[in-house]
Amino acid sequence: MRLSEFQESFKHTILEPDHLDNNMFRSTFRQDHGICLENRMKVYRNNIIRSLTDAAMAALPMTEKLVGREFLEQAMRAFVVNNLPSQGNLNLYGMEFPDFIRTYEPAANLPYLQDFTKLEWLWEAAYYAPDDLPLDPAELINIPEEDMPNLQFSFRQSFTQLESEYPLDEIVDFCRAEDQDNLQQLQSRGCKLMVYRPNLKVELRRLDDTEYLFLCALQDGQTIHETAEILAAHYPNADLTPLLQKHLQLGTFTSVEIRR
Amino acid sequence: MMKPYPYMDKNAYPLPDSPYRAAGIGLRAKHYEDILEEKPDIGWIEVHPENYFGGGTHRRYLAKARELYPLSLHAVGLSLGSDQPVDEEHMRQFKELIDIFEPFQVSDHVSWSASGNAHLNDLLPLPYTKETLQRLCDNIERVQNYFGRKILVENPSTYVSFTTDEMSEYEFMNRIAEKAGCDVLLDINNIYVQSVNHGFDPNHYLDNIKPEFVREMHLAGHTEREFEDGTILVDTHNRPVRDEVWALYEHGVKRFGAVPTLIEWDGDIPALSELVAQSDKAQSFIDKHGKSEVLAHAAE
Repeated sequence: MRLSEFQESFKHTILEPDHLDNNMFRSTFRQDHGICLENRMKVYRNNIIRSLTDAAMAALPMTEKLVGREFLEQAMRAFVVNNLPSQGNLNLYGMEFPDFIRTYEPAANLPYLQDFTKLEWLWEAAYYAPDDLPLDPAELINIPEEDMPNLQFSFRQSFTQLESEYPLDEIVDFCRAEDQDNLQQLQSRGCKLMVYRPNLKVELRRLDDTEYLFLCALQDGQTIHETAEILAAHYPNADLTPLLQKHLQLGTFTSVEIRR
Repeated sequence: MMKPYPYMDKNAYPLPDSPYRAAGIGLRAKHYEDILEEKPDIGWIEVHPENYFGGGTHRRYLAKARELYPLSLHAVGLSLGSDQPVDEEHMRQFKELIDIFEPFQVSDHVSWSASGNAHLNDLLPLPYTKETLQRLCDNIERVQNYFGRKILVENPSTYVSFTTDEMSEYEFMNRIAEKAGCDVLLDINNIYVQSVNHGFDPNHYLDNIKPEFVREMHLAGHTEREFEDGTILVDTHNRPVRDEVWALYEHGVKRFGAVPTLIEWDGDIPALSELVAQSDKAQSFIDKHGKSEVLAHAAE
C-alpha cells in the first residue's frame, strides 16, 4: 500500500471505525503483540477528536458555563467529526460552530446560542488579531478645518460589531458574576455590541442605536460628512462630535486619511 | 536580521541566544505572568509556533519572555511525513516567527497529520519504509531551504506498528539525519512508551541512535489507558516524568552528553514551580554525567 493510500485510509478509519475491516489496510498493521488493533486505533481516534474538541471549546468558556461542559462537549464533538480543520494553525478553528449550533437539534430550545457563541468567537479573533496602534488624537489637530468633513477612519484590526435580538451583554454579565441565580431575570431585548483589543486584553462595549450606526457607517468607508448625513436621516437629534471624541479616546481607530 | 517587531525591548539585546543551562521548560499561557515575574533559573523555554501565528496577545507575552530566555520553536503542524508537500502558508508564518524571535532550535516530528485537505491534529504513525524516508526527507529539505537553517526532528509515540516496516525506528531516525542533513530530537518518554506498547528494549534503541545527530532530548509524563485485553501507554504530557523514564534519560545523558533537555507539560498544567523542579531534576543528571561541549553545539 502506497503512503498516500495508507494515510487516506487512516483518516477514513478515524472518521468511520468500520473502515478497519478493509483487509488491505488492516494487513499493514502488526497484530501479534498484546492489544488488538481496534483498541490501538481507539487511542488515535480519541486523541484526535479530543484535541480538536478541546481546541475549539477553549474559545467558548462562557458558553461552557451557560450550557455545561457535557452538553457543549457533545455538540463540539459532533461539529468536529463533520468539520475537520484544513490547516495546522488551530487558533481560529471552530469559528463556524455558531452556524452548526443553529441546526444542532439538542440546542433547539436555546435560540440565543448561535449569537452568543458568535460573540465569544469574535472575542477570540480579537485576541489573535494582529497588533496595531491606536490613532493618536493629536494627529487631527493639524488637519485643516475644510478637510474635516472628508476624513475617513481605519479601524483597529481587532474591531468588530455585533447586533443580536438577544441580550448577549446581560448573558456575559451573568457568566462573569459570582452569584449566578439571576439568569431568569434577563430582559427580553436585543443588543448592539463592539468587541476590540485596545492593548493586551479584549474589551466588550455596549452601543446604543446611534453609536452603532455611526460605527457601521465609518467602518463602511463613509467620510465624517457622509456619516453625519446617515445619522441625521435616522436620528435627527444625533450629535456626531461626542461620538467621534469618545472613539478617539477609546482607541477604536488606527489611522485617518482625507478623501480627495 | 531581525524583522522589526515593536513589542520586544531593543534595549534587552543582545537576546540570550543559547542556553547556559541545558534543562528548559515549555512555556504555556497559564504561566505567562508567573515566568515574567519570577524569572526562574531555567536554561531556556520552548513554545509551539502554531500558537503564535498571526500575532495578538500570545505573541506579546512571548516577546517579553524571549527577552529573558533562549527560545526553541517546537512545531506540531508541519506534517513532515505526509505524502504531500508541506503547506506553504504554514512555513511562511513559521519563518516570520523565526525572524522575529531568533530561536536557538527549530523542530517538528517524524509523523504526519495532514491528508488531502484535512488536518488531523495528532502526531500520526508512519511505516518505516524507503518510500516514507524519501517523502519525509523531501519535506525536511524543503523546510530547511525555506528557513535557511537546519531543523531537528523528533521520534514519535506510537500505538500501532507495521508489517510493512523495512527498518527499525532507530535506523529510520539515523537515516533521516544522514539523508536530509537535519538533527535528531530524542524524546525519551516516547521511546519508553513505545517500548511498552510494542515490546522492545528501550536501552537498545538508545544505544543504536548515533550520538552525533542528537542535539536535544525531551521528557514528559504519560498515562496508562486500560482495555479489556491490556494496557496502552499514551503520551499525554499531563503528569510528572515517571521513574522509568528518568532512568532511561540518565542512560541518554551518558550517551549523548549535555544536550538541551525539555520538560514538556501540556495538560493539567501544574504550578510553574513544579515544572521548574522537574527541570532541576533533569539538570542534576546533566551535571552528573553530561559532557558540556555538546551543549555549545545547540546554537550552531
